[in-house]
Amino acid sequence: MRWSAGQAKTWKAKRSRLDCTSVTLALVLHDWRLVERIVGLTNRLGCALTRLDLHLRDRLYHATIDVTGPPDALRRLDAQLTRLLNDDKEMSR
Amino acid sequence: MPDPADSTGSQLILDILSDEGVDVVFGYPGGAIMPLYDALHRHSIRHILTRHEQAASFAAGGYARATGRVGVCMATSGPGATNLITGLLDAQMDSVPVVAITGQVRTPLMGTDAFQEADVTSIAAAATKRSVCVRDVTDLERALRAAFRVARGPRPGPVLVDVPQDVLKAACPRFNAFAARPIAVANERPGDAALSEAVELIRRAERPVAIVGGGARSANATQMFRELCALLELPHTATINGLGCAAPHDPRFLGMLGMHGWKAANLAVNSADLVLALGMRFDDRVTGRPDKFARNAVVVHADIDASEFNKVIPVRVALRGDLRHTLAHLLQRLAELEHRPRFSGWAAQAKALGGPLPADRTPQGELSATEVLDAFFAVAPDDAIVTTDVGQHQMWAAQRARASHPRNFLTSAGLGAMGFGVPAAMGAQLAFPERTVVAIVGDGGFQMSLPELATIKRYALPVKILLVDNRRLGMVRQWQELFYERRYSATDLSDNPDFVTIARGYDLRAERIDDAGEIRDALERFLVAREPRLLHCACFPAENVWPLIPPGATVADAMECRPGENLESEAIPA
Repeated sequence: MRWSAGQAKTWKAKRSRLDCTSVTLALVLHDWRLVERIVGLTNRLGCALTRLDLHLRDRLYHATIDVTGPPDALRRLDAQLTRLLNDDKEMSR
Repeated sequence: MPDPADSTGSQLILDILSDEGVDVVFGYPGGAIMPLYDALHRHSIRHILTRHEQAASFAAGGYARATGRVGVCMATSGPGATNLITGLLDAQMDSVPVVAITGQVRTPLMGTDAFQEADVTSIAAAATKRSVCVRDVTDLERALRAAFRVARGPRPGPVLVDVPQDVLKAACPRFNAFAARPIAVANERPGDAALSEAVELIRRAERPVAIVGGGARSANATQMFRELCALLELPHTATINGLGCAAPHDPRFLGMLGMHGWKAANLAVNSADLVLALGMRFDDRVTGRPDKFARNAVVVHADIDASEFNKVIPVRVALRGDLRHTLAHLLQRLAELEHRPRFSGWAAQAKALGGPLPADRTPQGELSATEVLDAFFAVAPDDAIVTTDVGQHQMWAAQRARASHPRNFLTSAGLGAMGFGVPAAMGAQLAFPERTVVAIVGDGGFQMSLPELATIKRYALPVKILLVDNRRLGMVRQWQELFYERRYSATDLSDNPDFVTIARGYDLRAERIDDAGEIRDALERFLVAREPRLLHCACFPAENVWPLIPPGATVADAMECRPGENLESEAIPA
């Protein structure tokens, strides 16, 4: 799994088991309400969310999210998050 | 120096809309948004009162699709706001720039299940690019500016701004028209390495096919796409949203691609060794089974949205950037090639892969919908804007449309929202009062938008409605016939009302035809008049859309007529 969307997120794959992969997402959000959308998308793509931490630091929200799911679904989640974070950045200007 | 408190949130919203170039908004008032409507009463922005909020969001989408500018709709809190959602999701699916402004209950009441309260920002989150609630009037300008910026792009889409009533009423400084404005510019271009690889793949290809989608319309890249096709003599096809990007009479244009696309287009893509996918997103109605789609081809995919790459179809080369810039760079590099490839031989072969559109032969004396639409597109003005609703008539129209401009054929493609055709035509007509605007609708979708006849009448919009009435929910009926062993569940509309009487009830001119011999004269009367008109075509109910690639199947499974038999003769109630 490879992320290419820039600085607003990083992705770390942990392990593979039964066609599922667990990943840890590190996201930087301007609007903390995006967490709601990320949870919804994770569910919609058939993945499971197993941890969610959110901290406010320097007026930005730093989210750490563990997600488990099939690689294909995680790839789609990646694509959707790229869009969300781009718009989040633009809306905050 | 302006008085620090000589304006209100409502006035500020309208002044910002004006400054963003908005000249018309579509909406419906209600309790929470009354302060904004009160300010609107004194403002130069034109408000179009639709008869349902859903029509307001569809009309804003129609305006935006026809012009490329941001369409604006507004509604009150609760049901008003939720009624906008379908139109917003339609804009989201087809990347159409729309800004929706909704009233909200006063901030102290939010979260108390107040009258007409809905958490619309959450509801709209999955139907828009962004939805925000502005709780402080001092944040209103920043939020609205951002909404327009995000709606415009780089990939356009809808944004919802929810404003509580107390924020609409709050005093604030007068809008300063000379304030610095952030401007969104989408001029990203792909990297040199990717461009070089794409050119090399084109140079080595033997059977390339280009597919153009709605992204070319958004990027104003139509001319460059046509230049690319001409330079390489490249066979090309279009998604339904890309219709009009290709020159309709270019001999290398293979017609629409996909489930109901032209045979030559689907077979050519199936045979291709290179697919150039330009501003399209490999919708399932285009690909059928993705693992079988163009399986002999490598794919070069150009799009402004990186999230589209590898979403459905594996891509060899991804060209991320504004499509106009991408095509400009491709054209330049291809033009400089010492041995530039030309694909005229393959283009002729591709064109020969398919024949004319297959069509059912309706029984003697019955009016054929495809015959009506063939006749319509033969006489419609070149610059006419055609909108459709959703269903069989939409596919028949898309197959036959000869749009010379990508903003001349407007349809709810991704969402497939019935009720779209008439309000979208209203939006397009308001943008272009002098042009011929025709809504082609079926009897199902038309009945979802009937109240808008009042809007058409009130504003004297010369929208023409071509009603293809087969007294069925035709597309669902067709699938029931083909895939559900003819169990026609809930698709019979044989007790439709008298549409001509209804139109006349709204004081609109209307005419009904039942016979093929009446088509030509009726269409002439219909198109010549500079006034709204309804032409009600009472068509045979069992005519199907062909070809059809069944869902999840491949071009090899395409159906061109009913399996093993002729058109059934259904009993049609008098």
